[in-house]
Amino acid sequence: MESILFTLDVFFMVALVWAIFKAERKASQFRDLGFFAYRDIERTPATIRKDGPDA
Amino acid sequence: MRDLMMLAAMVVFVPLSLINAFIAYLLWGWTAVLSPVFYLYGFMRPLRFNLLFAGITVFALLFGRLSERGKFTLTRTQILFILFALHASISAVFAIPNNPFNLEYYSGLMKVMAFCLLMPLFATSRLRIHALLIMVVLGLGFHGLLEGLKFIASAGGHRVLGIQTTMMGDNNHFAVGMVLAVPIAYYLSHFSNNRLVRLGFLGVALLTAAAILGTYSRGGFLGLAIVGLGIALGSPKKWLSITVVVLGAVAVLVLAPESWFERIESIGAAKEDSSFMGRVAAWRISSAIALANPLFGGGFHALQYQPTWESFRFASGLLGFVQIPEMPLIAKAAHSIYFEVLGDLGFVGLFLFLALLCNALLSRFEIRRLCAGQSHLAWAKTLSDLLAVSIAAYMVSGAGVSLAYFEPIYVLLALMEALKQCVLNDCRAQPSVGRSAA
Repeated sequence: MESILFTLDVFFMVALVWAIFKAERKASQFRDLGFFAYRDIERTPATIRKDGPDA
Repeated sequence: MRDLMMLAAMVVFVPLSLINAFIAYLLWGWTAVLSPVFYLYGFMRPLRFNLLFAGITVFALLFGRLSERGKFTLTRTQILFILFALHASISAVFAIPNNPFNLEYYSGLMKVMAFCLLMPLFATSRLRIHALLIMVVLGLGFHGLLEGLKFIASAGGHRVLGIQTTMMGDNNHFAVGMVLAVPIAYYLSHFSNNRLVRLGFLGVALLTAAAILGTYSRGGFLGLAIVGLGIALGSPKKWLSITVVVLGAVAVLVLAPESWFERIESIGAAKEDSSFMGRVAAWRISSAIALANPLFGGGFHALQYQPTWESFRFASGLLGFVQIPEMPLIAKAAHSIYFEVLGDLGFVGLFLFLALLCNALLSRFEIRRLCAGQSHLAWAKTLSDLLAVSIAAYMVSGAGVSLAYFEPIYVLLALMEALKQCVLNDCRAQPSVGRSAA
């Protein structure tokens, strides 16, 4: 199990490094990390507190 | 087999690092927190991965291509890092002589200081901060994932002992180290785009929590409780998070073996616990070393140097009022990040160490203020909260372990500053929004 997980960890690191290499060749507005890309979570009105600074 | 696979990975890592300094920087961090030598047994084991990628980072920074290079500005955090590094250097020079631990811990601290001081040049955008967070989880979280799986597969029978080639060499250190990884994995489980990746990071967070329970560490348990509470209270889906935390606690109560409860219940019986009184003895001697050398302390881990222990064994220090039945004969570790820094670097060192930690917590409030009313910065607000949870958990659970020079905590402090600068840059790009928020 340890070998498989270690292999996976190294594999994901290779994937991350490759994603960064590819992303940084593009203009800044078109960059993303592919499989590892981030997202924004849209906050719905129900999740915004009425007394909070966002209200 | 692992060595061959690592060699194959190096064929990708080294050329890309030479081309892009950020990749070299990322691999420097990853090899520092993962410690690949612990998992390698063959021809790749003697290779000093960390030194190799640190060297490539500096080389690539000077001669390679970096699509986006940040500016080195003297922010509050950078000033504190520099002052702490300078102070530690003076302490190391004027340390109690012949202490074999002095150089070892000093060089370790300087490496992580160099990593943190270079961070403003690299962590210039959300993409890079996100990549750095993934690096932390692939490095630090990997240990948690592995040990957590062993703990669950053995139905709680596996005792997590730590990673001997790192500072997390015993169960208590390992538990505190893992406490830092859980909030980061949790952040990535929310803000990763791919559903599989989100599930993967959630799995890492939960298994790392299981690994902390598997250490039987009381400090780790306290840290985990703080992380659980911090995540639940800070989550926009508060009720869902609280439900998950409560379900997790119920699962622990149902599944944990009797010996685990005995260990955790001993938190309240500290005075009768010989292990705890041994710690108090170490704290007392640490404070006595600091009183004898108030400005620069006794040097790195002077307390663990037997001649120092013997010469301060009967000094009352700052804790003379505590009755200790029998002072240990053999030198012990400081068993507290605060007393460790106090004994090693003196009162000035402790002040700088506390200033670094508190500065990061202050930055969290500044980031929240800057992000208020800007939905596109919700990620930064959440990340600042979770970094603060990690730091707060370290400050509490670190009170019982000698982990003051643990590399990942400094990386998180530097990440908090990088996040603040990223948010500030965003606000400068949209001056009307930023000004109204500030």
